[in-house]
Amino acid sequence: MTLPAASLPVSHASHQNPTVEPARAEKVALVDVEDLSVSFRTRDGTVAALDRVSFSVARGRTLGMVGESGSGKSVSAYALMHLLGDAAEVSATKMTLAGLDLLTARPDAIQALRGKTVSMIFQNARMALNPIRPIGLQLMDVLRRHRAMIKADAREAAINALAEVRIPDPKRRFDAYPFELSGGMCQRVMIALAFASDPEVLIADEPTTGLDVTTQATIMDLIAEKAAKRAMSTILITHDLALAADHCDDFAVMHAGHVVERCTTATIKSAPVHPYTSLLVRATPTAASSLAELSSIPGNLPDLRSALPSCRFAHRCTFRQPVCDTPLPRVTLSDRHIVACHMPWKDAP
Amino acid sequence: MIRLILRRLAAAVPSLLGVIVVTFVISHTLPGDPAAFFAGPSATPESIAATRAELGLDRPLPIQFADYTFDLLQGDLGQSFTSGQPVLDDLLRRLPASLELTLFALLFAVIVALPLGLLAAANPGSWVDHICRGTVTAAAAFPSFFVGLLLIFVFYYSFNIAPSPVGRLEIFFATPPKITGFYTIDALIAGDIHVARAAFGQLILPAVSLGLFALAPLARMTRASMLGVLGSEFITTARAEGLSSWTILVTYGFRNALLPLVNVLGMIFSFLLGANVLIEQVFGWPGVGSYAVEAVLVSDYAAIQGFVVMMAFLYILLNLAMDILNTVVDPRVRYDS
Amino acid sequence: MTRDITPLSGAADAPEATRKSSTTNRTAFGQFRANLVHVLRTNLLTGFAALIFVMLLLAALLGPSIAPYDPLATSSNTLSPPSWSHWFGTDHLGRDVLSRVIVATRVDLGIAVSAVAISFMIGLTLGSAAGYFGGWTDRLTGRFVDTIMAFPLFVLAMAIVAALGNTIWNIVLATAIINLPFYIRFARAEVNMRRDAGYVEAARLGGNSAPRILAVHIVPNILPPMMVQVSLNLGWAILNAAGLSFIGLGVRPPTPEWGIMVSEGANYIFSGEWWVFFFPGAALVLAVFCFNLLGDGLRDILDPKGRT
Repeated sequence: MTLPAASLPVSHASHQNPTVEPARAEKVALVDVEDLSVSFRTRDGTVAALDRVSFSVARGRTLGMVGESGSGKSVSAYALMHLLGDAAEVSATKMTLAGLDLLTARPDAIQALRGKTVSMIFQNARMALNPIRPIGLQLMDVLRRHRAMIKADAREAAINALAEVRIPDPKRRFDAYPFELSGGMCQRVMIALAFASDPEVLIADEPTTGLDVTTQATIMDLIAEKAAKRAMSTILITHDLALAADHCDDFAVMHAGHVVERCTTATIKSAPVHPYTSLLVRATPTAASSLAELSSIPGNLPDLRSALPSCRFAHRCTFRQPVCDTPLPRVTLSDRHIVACHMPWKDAP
Repeated sequence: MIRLILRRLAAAVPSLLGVIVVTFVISHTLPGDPAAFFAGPSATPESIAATRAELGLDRPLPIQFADYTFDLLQGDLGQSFTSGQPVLDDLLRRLPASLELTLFALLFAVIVALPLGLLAAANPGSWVDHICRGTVTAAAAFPSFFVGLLLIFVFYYSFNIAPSPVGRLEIFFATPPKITGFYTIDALIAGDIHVARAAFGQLILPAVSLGLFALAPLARMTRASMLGVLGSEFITTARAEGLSSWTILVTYGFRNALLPLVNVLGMIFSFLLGANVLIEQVFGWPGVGSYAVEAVLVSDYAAIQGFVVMMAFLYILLNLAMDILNTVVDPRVRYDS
Repeated sequence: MTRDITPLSGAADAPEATRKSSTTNRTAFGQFRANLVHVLRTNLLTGFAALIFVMLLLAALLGPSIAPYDPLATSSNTLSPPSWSHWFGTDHLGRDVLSRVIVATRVDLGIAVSAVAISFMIGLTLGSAAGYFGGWTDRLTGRFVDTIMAFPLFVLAMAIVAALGNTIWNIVLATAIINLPFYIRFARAEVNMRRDAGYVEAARLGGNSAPRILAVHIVPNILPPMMVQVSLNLGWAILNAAGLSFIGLGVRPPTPEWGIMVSEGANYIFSGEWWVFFFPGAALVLAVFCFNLLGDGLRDILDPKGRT
């Protein structure tokens, strides 16, 4: 039983690095997470936000974390950055970031990583910037924090940073407040802030949501350009599959706190084997598809506060069998293809 | 900016009008006959009638109201029959005392409440938080006059630390030459440390009594505002950027949390101005509050009217100052007007 | 192709995994009860406040029956300190302070409750009308509120009592008037928020008249937050009434009332007879504290998000 071949649209020139080959295990993994589980204690009970999530990103590669809203993509990133609050219980078998073992490291060692070795850019940049502080000063805050600089040097570096992200008239814009800038410009400022200290890992959480398509393209180009220059590892969190396909080397597909499939972009375009991944791909609109051709994914995400079955997708899956009620396996199909399913499809055409 | 001021003033006119009407109505409902009082103890019915005509009290009420408003616009608040002076002069003479007291009370409230609020916000849900909130809630339950009396009993009578609660300065101190009307400041300007200290000593107990009531709303607002700010997205960004805890708490957190506090401070200040009355009674403070109480008790209608109108006017000025302060502190507001 | 099967979710934690109470099937009452339990468990103060409230209520209702002495009975045993026969001592006229404090509960609570009740009902009506109909109703009400708020509220109360006459009823009236803006604004805001809600639209389309919509649909929904305000307001009303009597307005001797008792006792601080002013004052503090805590607790039960 195979799914009809699904293909992802290529809406504009792909920016993947064609020379990166799969599967050479010697490639250094700057981000390596295994069996990360996160639950939150709330008034209404415990929310099992993440259940044994695993993913890794090698140096120079970009990982796309995709899935519906609420699937746990952002929680994974926050857990990695140690930005979750006290209500969160985090456990993992392995969690390393740029060589530092996050499970055994001291808090100040982890704190030292943030903003310097690993940076994060957020959705809705205007909200994510300090509303009553000029953007130039915000840049200077980061610069002076991570690099020993006197004020005058930091100011100049800040203006340069603004110029590097192609903000016009950076000297004047230094004193601007976020509410005076457009969404796209705010996002550029975020990017400047993220790259101020030359990080090795970048986490981009829905960086283009809310921006118009042209701006989206420019922002993603900017990120890709800067990432390539520094051979950074990038994690791109998005619900826009097409966007991810253009800019990522690998994929981690998430559903309700599980990573259901990990594969390369080539695989996800041609032969995804998890039913959810296939549905996601088919639901992604292309320029050619009509409204009638678009399919949606039946059902809803399960309520994470209630008792959950072992496969959290089973209640929405058309191919469900009695075996799906047994504990969910993690099937390694190849070096770069891992799927969490009892009956993954064999590769297609 | 000028336009903002003018617009605010224009919006305040109806309120001011309402105040004048209400005050007029109230004071003319007061018992007692000012004509009889002015006419003196040996008055006859004829002389009382004559005095009444002189004062214009026999004219129909609407005409009296028109006269009153007309006088008001010229700054004439009438004459107090208890002091024999123009009400405006009486009030202006006593205003500095009340203002000094209120400002020190506010200062006390800020110095205590702000750190408590910040402390509670930095440790939400912990025992520190509960103690902070419990303390300010308890402080809010004390009537100001009771606190005043309690403090006098403990610190003046029992421990003999505080000076005797007889007003702004004990008799053996000379009042400093008047520049601002604030004894503490004037004494410091004149270089007289002893008088400054004495004046400050007299201020402590009444200021604390008055300010205690303001602790609760101030601490709560600080805590709420700070918690709100600390939960915002830009704080997450700041943490992701790896900024130091101090920078995050102060430059990113506290400065943003201050914005609504400015308004709360204004509200509290105006509330304290009104609550002055009781404290001035307890401590024998010669301010406008005690002036008003005496006026009410003897039905000195001009004095009551003058006091109320002046207070309302002060409120309006205060709100204006708050608005202006807002534009200074919050850049987003500047662009709206 | 290797086939590595690593169990993602072990058998041990299949349905067991995250079993805490499911909230999906809770009724409104169930939610209320859950909140109540949570609040009482995490907040002993609220329970404590409830206890004090019951005590005050009993004192108010049973006052004269439980007072050890006649509160108005003078004697020659003046200004005697607290002792076994007179727990709170006696005042300058030889009256038992404890009895007077107990009996005064009725007066003070009575004034506060009446004032808040009047204020609440008028404020609710005016505010709801202003919030629902908007237009001139709203504008006039707004002006009315602004006028009251332009005065230092306590001074306004003073002026009203002085103008209308020195009686307890006028204290109630004055306190009610200065509390009006509070309820009007609150009701107006809450009604305004709900004016365009789905169920209101439905009621309108169903042909219900405006007063009926307000009374049956909207007001019951805004009552819970208003109850919180009422509780907090009661404390303030008590302080106001006490303040007025402290300066000699309203309640007249020999009626036992906390404010007047503090005022009378103030004269004796300087000779060391502290008990005359202290106990009525402490009673005031207890009552206000109790109502403030109750208000907070009520807010936690009804609307946990509103906590400050």
